[in-house]
Amino acid sequence: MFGRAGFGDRMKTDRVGQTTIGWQDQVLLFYLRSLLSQTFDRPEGIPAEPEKPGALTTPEPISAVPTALPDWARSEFQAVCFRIGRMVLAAPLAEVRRIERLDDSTKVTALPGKPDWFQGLARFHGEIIQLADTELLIGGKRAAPADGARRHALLLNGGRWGLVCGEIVDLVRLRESDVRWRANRKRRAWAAGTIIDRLCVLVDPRSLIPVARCQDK
Amino acid sequence: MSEALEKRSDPVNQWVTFRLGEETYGINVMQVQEVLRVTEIAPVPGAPDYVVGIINLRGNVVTVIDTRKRFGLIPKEPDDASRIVIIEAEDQVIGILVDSVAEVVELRASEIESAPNVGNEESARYIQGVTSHGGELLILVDLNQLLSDEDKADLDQL
Repeated sequence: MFGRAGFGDRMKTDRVGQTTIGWQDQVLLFYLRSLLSQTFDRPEGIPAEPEKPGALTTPEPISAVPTALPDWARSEFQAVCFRIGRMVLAAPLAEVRRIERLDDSTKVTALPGKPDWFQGLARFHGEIIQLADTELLIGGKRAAPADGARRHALLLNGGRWGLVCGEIVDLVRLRESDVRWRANRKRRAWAAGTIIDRLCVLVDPRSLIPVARCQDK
Repeated sequence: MSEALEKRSDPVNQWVTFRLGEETYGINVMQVQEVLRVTEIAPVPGAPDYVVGIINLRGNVVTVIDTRKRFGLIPKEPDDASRIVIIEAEDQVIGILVDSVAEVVELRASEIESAPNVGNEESARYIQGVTSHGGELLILVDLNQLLSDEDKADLDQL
């Protein structure tokens, strides 16, 4: 922890005190920036997997527990709030490239031997998307959709994944300070933090799809 | 690009498609020997659960496997539409019981996308890829990977 100028020192001369605090802020800022820049570096010894051409790509698996703010949270950002069962969750819009509505005409092709949370494949605008059951991924149970309840898929950036959810509630604009960020994400790595005035969990979508975990099984 | 060069760089293969439940699967036509109506299949005591039994195919004993069970789908009694597809996979001739056989389709290699990279090792092994065809998705199965070495050894001993 960085020491702050003592109260007595600051009382001696305002001018010196202000200079000292300014210097400390700069050091603190530098320290925080360096922490942020380290966050998503690949740990040494873990090679990057080559991507197959034409493959249904997956988001880069999380190789280490995220410990600091994700990239999208470094400045003001927008989040889309959506319903999962009775809960409302939010996901950063920076990680969502499109929202598709799922209805009776949406054909979902199930694949054998896949985990429960993998709902199957669906085509949107000629693109094959892998649908993941968000409710199962966050540790809930698969519930039959209520009559008339609309279902949607949040299509994520950096891979052909869609998070299946219920109604889209709204879009919110957030600042870093609007969220209580989780410092330790060893458990529930997908929960980046809580939007304070809504008491709504902000999801880190890249940590939600447990591709790496499934491959280990 | 000349047609010959295009064929070489983006070969076209034929796939026999069949239905299992709500989905359509494809297998390489070169590995399909024939398609039979379901006749009497003699059960084999002590056989693995995915083995329906054996049939006599012109004097040869052929093991028939329940593809639904193999793929972890809900079992279903064979009906009029059910077929046994006789295939050759790595020098082993077996029959796969399917709900129905649909058609033969031609697919360019470039039209096939790799299978999603999730799930148990077994399924990752035998699902070769997926492609869009006729407004729906077609799941392409690599028959050479359908049975593990252990499974093949078990079938040899039936």
